[in-house]
Amino acid sequence: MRRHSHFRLAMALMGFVLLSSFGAPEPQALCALRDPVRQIARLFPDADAYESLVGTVGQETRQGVAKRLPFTLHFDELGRHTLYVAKKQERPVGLVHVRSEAGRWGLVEIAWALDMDLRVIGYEFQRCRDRSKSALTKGTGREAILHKGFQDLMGLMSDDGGALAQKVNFVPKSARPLAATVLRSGLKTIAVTESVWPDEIAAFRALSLALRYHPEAREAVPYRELFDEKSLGKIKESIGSESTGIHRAGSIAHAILDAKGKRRGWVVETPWELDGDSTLIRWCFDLNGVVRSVGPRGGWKSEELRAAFASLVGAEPAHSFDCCGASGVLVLEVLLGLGIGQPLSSH
Amino acid sequence: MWLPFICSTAVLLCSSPQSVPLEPAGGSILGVWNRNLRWDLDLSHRALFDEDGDVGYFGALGLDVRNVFAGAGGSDIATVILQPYLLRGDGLSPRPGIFSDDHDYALQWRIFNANVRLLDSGAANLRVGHFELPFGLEQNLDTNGTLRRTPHAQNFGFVADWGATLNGELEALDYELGWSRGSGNEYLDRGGDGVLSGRIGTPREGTTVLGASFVHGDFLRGATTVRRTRTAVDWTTLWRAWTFQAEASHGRDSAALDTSRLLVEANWTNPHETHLAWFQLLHTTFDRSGDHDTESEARLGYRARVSRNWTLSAQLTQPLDQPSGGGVPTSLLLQMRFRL
Repeated sequence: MRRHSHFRLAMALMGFVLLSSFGAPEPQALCALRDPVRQIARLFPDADAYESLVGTVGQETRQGVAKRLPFTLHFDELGRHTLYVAKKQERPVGLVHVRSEAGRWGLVEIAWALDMDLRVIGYEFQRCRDRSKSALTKGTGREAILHKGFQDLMGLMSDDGGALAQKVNFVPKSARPLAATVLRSGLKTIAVTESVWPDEIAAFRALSLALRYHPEAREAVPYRELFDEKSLGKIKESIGSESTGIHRAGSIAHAILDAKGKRRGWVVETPWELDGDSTLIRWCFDLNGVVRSVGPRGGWKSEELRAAFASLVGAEPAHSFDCCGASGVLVLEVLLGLGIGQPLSSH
Repeated sequence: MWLPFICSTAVLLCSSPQSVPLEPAGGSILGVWNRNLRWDLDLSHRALFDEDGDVGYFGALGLDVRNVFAGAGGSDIATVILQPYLLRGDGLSPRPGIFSDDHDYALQWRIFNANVRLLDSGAANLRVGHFELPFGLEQNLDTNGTLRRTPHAQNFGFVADWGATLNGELEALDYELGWSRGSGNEYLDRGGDGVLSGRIGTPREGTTVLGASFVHGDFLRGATTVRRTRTAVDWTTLWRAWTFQAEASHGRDSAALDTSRLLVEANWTNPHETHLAWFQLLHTTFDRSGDHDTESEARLGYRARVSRNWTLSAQLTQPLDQPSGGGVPTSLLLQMRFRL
């Protein structure tokens, strides 16, 4: 046999060139990647289709996760990942993201089902060698994880994230290491999903809300910057320069379109601060600026607040501005941002 | 010959690399192409040492592309896998059929197909292109570009073929049934009816997986074809860090040669699955018009993923039972693989 030195030299040189580059490739051939078809069907039995959204989990995401968690992503977890949007009749019903976490006997691969607020609404083991997983697939073990958000799951972990918190006892002792692995996976899933696909999730969240009031809605597209110079001028003219508590830079709006691309309304999210408490308020408007729904993420802090905002629903904008106190001023500010309100002085 | 390879490369280099920003569906053609694109550059080099002192080399440089396309309603309608590889073989013994002489380049289409949704749920899909024959353990393993092997190549002369399959995942089973040309890397029609193949198995993510498969058809051999039939059962069980698996197949080549193969494997992995060690026993029996012959070998392999980009592997193959009139020497195969 003859050695072919030129070819080997070329390969070696190419190796050195490539060595100096940094990427996040898949360690295995891409043909080995399989969509979690069966898991999506189990997690969303009513769904009839799904959409893949591929995003990059990079160093920035890794650093972001490290700020939120006492542990972060292993370098193996970087690269291109997929968020699956489960759909029923072309409408989003939930999200599925699969993450691998090192367990006692190898990687534990879990398909997580999340609602649009990134709360856990289900999970399925896609790969798990640990026989104690049965403690987490049914009964109290499963219930303890369902309907939890990021902070709720954090509350189940020890301070360093290496184990379950001592007070937590929803699984037998033998399953505690796997339960901690599952929780780490869930926390990473929420943190990564929020970091990599914020715009897509915001649009799906807006569409989900809009569909309750606009059944013809098919798409939510980002609307222009809500509080630009023009709208800020009108707001100043109408309600003065005093802050209403809305965090303007963090507010986002989506126009709701029907199948023909015609606008049917808006969904707006406004972070709002009242007496030191911050909450995210979601508004759904029709084309005339009539409030179709308003509500906070989580729940209202008081019955008084709930009642004040409930009185806005269905009211004509002009009526809202005049009679509903602080909540009326808030809706005015949002409507002026959308460009469909009129300053109070004009009424 | 190199035109498809060059075109594929050009398309990828024109598109953005890994950090592709998401673009709304319905954008430009490039935007649609980039939206769910993943691609890696895959470079590997192998050296084969045998006990006779001979050394052979095998190099591979390829693109590994995966893309998912959505339809008008926004749901996925097709997954495309494209893997064009440029190969170089030097002094390999036995010489792989893809090379024309002992020092040769070749273009290999490893996996090159589109899997189109027939049902939006993923329960039924139509795969068209170049794909691995759905048979035995290979269906659920990823041995593509690795030293670890299943008996696919020994049974059929190649791993992947051109054609179409119906495939999907149901609640309690995975299935894939297909027809292919029987010509391997290149689509060549030299007579024959092509090859029917199929596997049906329990869900691949289970801790125990069982499958049954068959192949029947005319395989290209030189300027003519040979009829081959195989049936097989495969089994996989995970236990802690260990995986135990086996594939038993039986069938006939032409009208005279009965062949039975049994592959048994035990492998171990660490918690991060960066290390994998495997031990395989492969036993084959041949019966030709009453003449009985056997061949068996043991393989001991190890793969270490030393970084996100680099994987190093080694496999020692020890013949245990040589067929009369031939056989292969003890050999050591080393591979370094780089993915970018």
